Amino acid sequence: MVHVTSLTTHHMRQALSAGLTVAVASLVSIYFVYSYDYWIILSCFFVIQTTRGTPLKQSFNTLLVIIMALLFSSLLIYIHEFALVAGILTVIFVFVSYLLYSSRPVSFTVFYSGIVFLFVTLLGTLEPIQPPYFVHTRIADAVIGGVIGILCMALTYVQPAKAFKQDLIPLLKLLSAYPQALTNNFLEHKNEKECIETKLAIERVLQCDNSTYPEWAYEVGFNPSLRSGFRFFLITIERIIELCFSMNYLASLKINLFTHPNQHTKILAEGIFHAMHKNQELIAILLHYFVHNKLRQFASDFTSDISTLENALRQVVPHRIELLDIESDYMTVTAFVRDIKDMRRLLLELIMALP
Amino acid sequence: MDLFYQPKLAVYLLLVCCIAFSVSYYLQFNPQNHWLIWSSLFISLLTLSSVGVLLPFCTGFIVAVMVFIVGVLAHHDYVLPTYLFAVTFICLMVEQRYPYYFLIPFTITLFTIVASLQRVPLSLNVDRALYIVAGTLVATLLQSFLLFKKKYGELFFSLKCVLLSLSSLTQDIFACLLYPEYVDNVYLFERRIHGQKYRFFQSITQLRGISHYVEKKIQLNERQVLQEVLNKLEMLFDVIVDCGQLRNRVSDYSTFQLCAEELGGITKELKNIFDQLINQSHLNNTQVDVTLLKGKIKRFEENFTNVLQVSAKDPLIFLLFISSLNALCEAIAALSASLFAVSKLEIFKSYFSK
Repeated sequence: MVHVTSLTTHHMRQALSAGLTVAVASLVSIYFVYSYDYWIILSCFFVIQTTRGTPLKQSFNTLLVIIMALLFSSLLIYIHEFALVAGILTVIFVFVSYLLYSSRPVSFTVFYSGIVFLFVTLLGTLEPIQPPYFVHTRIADAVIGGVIGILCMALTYVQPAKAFKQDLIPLLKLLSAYPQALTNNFLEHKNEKECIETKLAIERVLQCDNSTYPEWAYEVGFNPSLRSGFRFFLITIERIIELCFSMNYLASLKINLFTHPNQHTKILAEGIFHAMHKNQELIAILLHYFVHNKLRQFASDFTSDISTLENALRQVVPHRIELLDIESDYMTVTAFVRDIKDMRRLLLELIMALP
Repeated sequence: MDLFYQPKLAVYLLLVCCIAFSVSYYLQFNPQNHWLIWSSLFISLLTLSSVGVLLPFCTGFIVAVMVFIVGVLAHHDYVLPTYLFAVTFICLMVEQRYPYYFLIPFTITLFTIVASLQRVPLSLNVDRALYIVAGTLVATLLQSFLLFKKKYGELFFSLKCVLLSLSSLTQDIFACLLYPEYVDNVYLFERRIHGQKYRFFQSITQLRGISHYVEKKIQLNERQVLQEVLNKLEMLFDVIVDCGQLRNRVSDYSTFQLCAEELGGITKELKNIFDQLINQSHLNNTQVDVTLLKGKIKRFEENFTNVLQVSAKDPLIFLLFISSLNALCEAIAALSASLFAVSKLEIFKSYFSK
């Protein structure tokens, strides 16, 4: 039930970068600390946990949250009544936690900001103070840690174009086998389990906003020169996925048109099979491009099979559209063929848009 | 968002805080007593996000061990950064491998960092670890006693989240058909739809996880009823997405002005129906009545026969849309029937009889 992402070089790189940043921050805190505490390392650790879309903006926002929480905890430190401090911390903790967990699902940035504020307030208020205590020493340490985190992140920054390609590969791999499974399920009621599993896998990929899908391209403030291209690609890919889900629903209706096929329905079935195979080929071309950074040469004709499919459909279903709903199977197969056509159009748009 | 839907959650958090602060107050002679508060509060957050108590329990012990080790290494200036590097590296790899359990490695790293620069003698180091264990016990035992039936409440809360996301998704898809601004602001509308789909996927994954946990404790026939609800929800999502294909197929958006009234009626009725489904998900109500929706679809069909079939460039897409709407009706009725069957199960009757 738990989504497990496969680790890529980017994940390794990010973990290595985070580890080195924390190690550097701990070395700096040995020699240049103001508050004789852990705020340099802690601030650095909080700041490096960002998504790939707007890492600098998120880091600054996190640093701001840390400073606000430190200022707030500094106010609480001057209250010497333990009961009052405990009461205030209880109210804040219960309120923020309840809000975060009741509003699920929330975006990662909102959840993370809430958690950081909570943690820093609790740590800052309850940590025993070495007198004399000055709030500016903690804030200075937090800023130093934040700067170390931001600098290290800037040094290990991954180019968005490269990251985008890497992040789309898992989704394209899942999509590459899906059309064929859908066709088999629709025509012969086979591969139903495979269709369901692929659908669930795609759903899991689409909800992991930091690991397996470039959700970060939608973030406000993302690189303006890359934004429109990336977003066009993501929107088109999602439309293709919607078509797959639509076909999944149509396949679940289990039509009987192809159970005892006559000559015309056989030709139609072959046309559907062939057209979906071409769609699968187009997805494979996309995948090859993203994996090898090179557009594969292809000789296939991607238009005549659609014409053949439409002709085959006209031999099976009534010509007049008001007669289509006489038999539910006619409507279903017409919808399926339309989905195939739309998928073809979108895939060709994507390939034409590749640099 | 229903702020008062889970009062037990607030009571649990309140009790954890009260016990942690009270025990810490009585142990104020020990300079490490604040670790009890930190560990009980942070581990309580972990118990909220996981399905059982085992993982937070184990996390608490791992934290205690890591803090003890770092307490020993804190006296060695150059070993400490290496240890922190290793802990951060491993925890971040785990965070990325299991993004759903992000808080667990995050908490481990956090406690390790906090303990790293506090050089304490061995006896206080041991006290620190013991306080962390005590805090873990406070959080996990309270959850076991107080929220032992939380999973049923969590199940219906997640179900409600799924239905809310489906309702919002439907509204956003139909907004693309109703608002002529869609043509010039495709990204804005599609972004909203993407956001609703994302919420649906998150909610349904959470629902699946909790129902998987609940299914271990119920009979086979009850499991099948629960599984049927999940299947119907997935089916409903597919049908909604199928309805939404119209927005990608229409080349001339002015066509929608010819059927704006009918589309608006369908949109409004769908909102009412989803509100009824959400009410049904936690009250023992009768099943949702889709008669009004069928009437609205019939009106749209009449418009298609009299107007759209003649004026639209591609009338077939509207016919396919009508077929999808009829399927949506049936999917909603089927889901309502499944929810009704769930409410009749003995194991959930006490939850529904509020």
